[in-house]
Amino acid sequence: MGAYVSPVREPLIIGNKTYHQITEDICSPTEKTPTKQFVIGFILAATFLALYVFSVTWTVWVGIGSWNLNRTIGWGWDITNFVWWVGIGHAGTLISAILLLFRQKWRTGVNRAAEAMTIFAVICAGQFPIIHMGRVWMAIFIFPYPNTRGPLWTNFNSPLFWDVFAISTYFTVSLLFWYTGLVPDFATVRDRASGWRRKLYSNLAFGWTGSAKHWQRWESLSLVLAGLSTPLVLSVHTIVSFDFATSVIPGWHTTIFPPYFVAGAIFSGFAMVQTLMLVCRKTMKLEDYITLEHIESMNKVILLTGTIVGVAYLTELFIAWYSGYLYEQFAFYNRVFGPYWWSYFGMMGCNVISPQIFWVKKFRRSIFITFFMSIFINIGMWFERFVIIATTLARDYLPSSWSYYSPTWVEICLFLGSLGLFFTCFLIFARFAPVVAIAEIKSILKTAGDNYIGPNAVHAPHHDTHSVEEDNHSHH
Amino acid sequence: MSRHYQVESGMSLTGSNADHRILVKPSEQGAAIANLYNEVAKLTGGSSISAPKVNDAALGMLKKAAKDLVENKGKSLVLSGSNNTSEQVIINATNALLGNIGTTIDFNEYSNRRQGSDSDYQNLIKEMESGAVSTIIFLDANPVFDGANNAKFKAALAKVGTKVAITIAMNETANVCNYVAPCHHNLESWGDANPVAGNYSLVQPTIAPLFDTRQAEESLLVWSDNTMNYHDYLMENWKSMQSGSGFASFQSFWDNCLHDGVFSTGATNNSVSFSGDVNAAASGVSQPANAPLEISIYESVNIGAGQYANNPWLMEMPDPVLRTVWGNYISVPVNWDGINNYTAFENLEDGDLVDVDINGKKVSCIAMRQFGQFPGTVSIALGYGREVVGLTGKNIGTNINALLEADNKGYTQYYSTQVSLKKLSKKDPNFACVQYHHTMGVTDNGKEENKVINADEKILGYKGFQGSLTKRNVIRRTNLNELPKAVTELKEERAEFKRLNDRTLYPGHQYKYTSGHHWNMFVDLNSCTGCGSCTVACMAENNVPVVGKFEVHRHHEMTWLRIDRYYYGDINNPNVVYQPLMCHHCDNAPCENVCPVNATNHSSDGLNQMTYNRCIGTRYCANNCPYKVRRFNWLDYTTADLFGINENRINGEELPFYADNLTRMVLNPDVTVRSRGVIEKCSFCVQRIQEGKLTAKREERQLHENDVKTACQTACPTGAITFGDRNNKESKISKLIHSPMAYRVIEEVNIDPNVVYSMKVTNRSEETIG
Repeated sequence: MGAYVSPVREPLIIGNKTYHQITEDICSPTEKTPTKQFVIGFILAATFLALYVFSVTWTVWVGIGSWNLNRTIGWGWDITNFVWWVGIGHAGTLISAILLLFRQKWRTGVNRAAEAMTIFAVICAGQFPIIHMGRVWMAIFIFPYPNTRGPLWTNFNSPLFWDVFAISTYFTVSLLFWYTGLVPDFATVRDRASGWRRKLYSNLAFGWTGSAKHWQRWESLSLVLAGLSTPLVLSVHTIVSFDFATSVIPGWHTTIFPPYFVAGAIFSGFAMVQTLMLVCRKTMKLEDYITLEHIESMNKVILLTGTIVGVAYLTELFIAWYSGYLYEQFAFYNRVFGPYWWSYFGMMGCNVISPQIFWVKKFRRSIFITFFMSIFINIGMWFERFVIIATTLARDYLPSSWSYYSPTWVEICLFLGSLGLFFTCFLIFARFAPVVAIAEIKSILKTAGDNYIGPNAVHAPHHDTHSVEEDNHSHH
Repeated sequence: MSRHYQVESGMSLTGSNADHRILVKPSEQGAAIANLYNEVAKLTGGSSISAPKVNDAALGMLKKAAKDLVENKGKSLVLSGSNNTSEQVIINATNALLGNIGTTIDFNEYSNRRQGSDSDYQNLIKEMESGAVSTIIFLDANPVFDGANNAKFKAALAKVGTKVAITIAMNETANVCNYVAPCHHNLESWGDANPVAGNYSLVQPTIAPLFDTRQAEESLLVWSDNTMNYHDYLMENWKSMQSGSGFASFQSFWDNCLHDGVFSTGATNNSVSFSGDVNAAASGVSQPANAPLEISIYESVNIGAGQYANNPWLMEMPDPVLRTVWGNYISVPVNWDGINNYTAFENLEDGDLVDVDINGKKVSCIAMRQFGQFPGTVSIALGYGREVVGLTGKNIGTNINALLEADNKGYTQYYSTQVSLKKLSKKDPNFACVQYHHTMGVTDNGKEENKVINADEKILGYKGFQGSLTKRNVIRRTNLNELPKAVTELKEERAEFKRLNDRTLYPGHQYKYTSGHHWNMFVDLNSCTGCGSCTVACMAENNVPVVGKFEVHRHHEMTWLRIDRYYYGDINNPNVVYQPLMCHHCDNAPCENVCPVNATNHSSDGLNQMTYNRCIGTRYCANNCPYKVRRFNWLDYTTADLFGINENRINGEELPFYADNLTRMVLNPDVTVRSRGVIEKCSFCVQRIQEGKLTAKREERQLHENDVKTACQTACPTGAITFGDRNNKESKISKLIHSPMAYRVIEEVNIDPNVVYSMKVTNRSEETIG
């Protein structure tokens, strides 16, 4: 056994891996018969997906009247789900692009799965603005295609129209970025496979040979895409926030929305990454690659963004009071103490108060707590969107029109079903693609200053690192 | 300016428009009338009569009312809805003391309506019971449902040999007759009328009969072996009126009357004076009861005593005061604790089911909390709960008519002191009310703070009624004595709004909409009585679908025009303001810039237009509408698409109403019928605007002010709505919108609405304020 250890830095990969072992560890889930856990998980996810298909069909067939939205509250669970999923879709690109540019090497352990999560979350998100249309069969009207209708074209002033481009651009770039990363890994799997799998993976690998020229182009492309994605991470949720910020409705018409939405998106995205990674590392035995170090780093990001979001919430309250503008004041009074007070307190409790436990290192490194916190945050962030959308609409300028709204079974099933869609996609991905970026993670097995401690090692390593102690011992 | 005092126990539509409401129990009505007489007599030197005791608060107010009445002798008027002859005699005596007979009460041009007699009807029951009646013909009458003691009537009717009902549709009475003679609808009939003394009018058919029916009068002619057809009979009858009309031939007289629709013979000259015996009448007034609970029963504004129960427009028109639809709801008083909370009678909440026992008969009703309902009283509307009627009205609401009884003179009494109410633990699952927040600026002398408090704001955050910050620029109102101050304030506020709104990112667009037509609407909150005619007219004109109770329960009503109702003033006895609200056609419309597909956009003459076939139904426009006037077709309300599953059934009908060819005849061919999944809203009756423009163009002239009138405007009985071209400097609208009392709702949001309201002014007696 050999490994690289640094005298100063904790290793990013533990377990004294060799390059070959990494390949083995990461490729094997795609090569073995699926585990029982996987099969059960997949059946469950597919069932929810079926529920989703059913509820979408029902919505289109019966109409939006199968939901409980009303003359006052035109958006409810539908757009809440949309914003929630888009938010979740932010972590992947942030991890791959922004952390790449910042040279945060720990990202390689989680970036592949996080990017996959982004793709699938954006797929889920993109469904809702389409499903929520009263005449979904006319959805094509939102594209500015040439037609014979004269001046009746898309409205370039509408934030909903900006969304079309924001989301589709984000999806395209994220997909390219993700797939680019997958190409050399597909080639690795291909090289180990035979029969139909070999054919499948050679197609997926686009004839990758691993030549220096390939690597050079691959690296340049990765950088270019990272550069493209970085502003997108900020722009997408900024534009989503414009859906609300450009309106005239008190509680929506707020300049704080863009940064607040972006922070919230990263917050919820990281929470979802945590949820997924904790399950993956356990079931796919990737504890050596997705270490407590990763979990702690992500918890730090969660603590930071959660606190930013908390500051935003308080700023909103302050500004509402400070504005002296009655409608604004009432909108926020209503959020906190109105008939939807429970969603506000759900949001505050899950998003602002509970993440504060991550100031304590012990909790940051506790898998159990991290898992529950990640679920909490996901719930809290759903509440946040619900508070912004439904609570605000429920009571605006004219008290005569105030109303209340609770969902029908169709709306609930659409949400649960979209989780089914997400997890089905994710499980298929985990089955067919390496969930950790093999090529990228190999690059951090040894970084500058690390020493090789395996057979034929020239220098005796400095051994104060706990994880390699046993290994060192055997070589002395 | 006139001043209106209303004496009542429940909040009626008339009472809601009064300056002062004097709250009495229903059984105190006679006492109130007698006491008012005495107060007036005291001030005019008349002799007083014996009067039962009325509650102290009411007595104090009656004194004020009497003072005002006497100060306005000959210009005042006292009216009562009492069905007690003694009480009406005292009312006449009061008017006589006030010198109103011959001035405000006109005996020369009197109304011929309401000449039916309750006592004759009760006598008929006796006669039928005794077997003295062998044949009875009902013409447009349904006493088996709507008469007092109707169970007795039905039992007695069984003893009548030949029973004939002439009716346009089956009803409870026709159902127990031997013969039913289906007659024409009014619009298929010839006829004449004499509604007001000296005024005759003609009825002529506008459509050929749809069904195999015969006009009622025609039937009567046939049955009386008269061979003349009714049209000839009618003309023959009118021949006697030609003399003195100034027309040379009868034909020209007839043609002219048909054209004008009315013929006036001029007012009669009756000399009338009061000659009743007030003292005798005083002994006949109803005596106040000592019952813990009393109920008053009233005819519904929407469907009367039940005769309009099969009209879906009227069923879905919200009750002006309660704002409920599809049924009658029992109004229970609310109790304000003086600090920060309301409770209702028996802790009832809106939509709770209650068992009500009236005169020993038990019915189940749905409760609705009602401001201004006198404690110790409840009230409920008649006309609902019909059983033999078309599908729309069948079994909707509670049958209260069956509980009506007559007094010993045979007059139907619309109240009872024998009433108890029991709360059930169930709620109406489809409770349908279009407004859930009712107050805007109710005040009280706070128990804790000993000063006038804003009760709305005190209630913020508490359950039950919703509180609100009330200084919203939605309703503007003042009292006559504070009008100059209110006008100054309004001027200052509007100047500030203008200053804010002028600070635009896009300056230099002021030229917009200054040439060509620019449509504006003006709504006078002072004239509006909240009756709801405009809302029904709008539904009829614009093919607005009726959606039924369940859909309204889910706030899916489609009304393009609604009338918001807010309570203000003394929380225990509030005043009411009604505000008709339609699309404001904002020149800086928030709905327009958010639509991703430009389905809603602005016309050059200032209309905010909907392009239905471009709409994809994102509802973004509805969310961003500050007035919440946009309506979404949640389901296929008009049976416009191919899917069967999303058609909306209103009251258990097999074929949806809108799929029925007969129902579809109500559709206005000038207006598109919308499919599901699209937004719709008030268009300012764009089809009428276009028609007016075309007429002017064909006649090669300018568009006149009267060429275009919206449906709501033409339906409004008080002329509260004015519509027109703002850019036409001669037009009424261009003057009205610059009135010092004119304002725009939430003008500060800078949406530049094209609907202008005029401040509501009450004329409360100054000494009762504060």
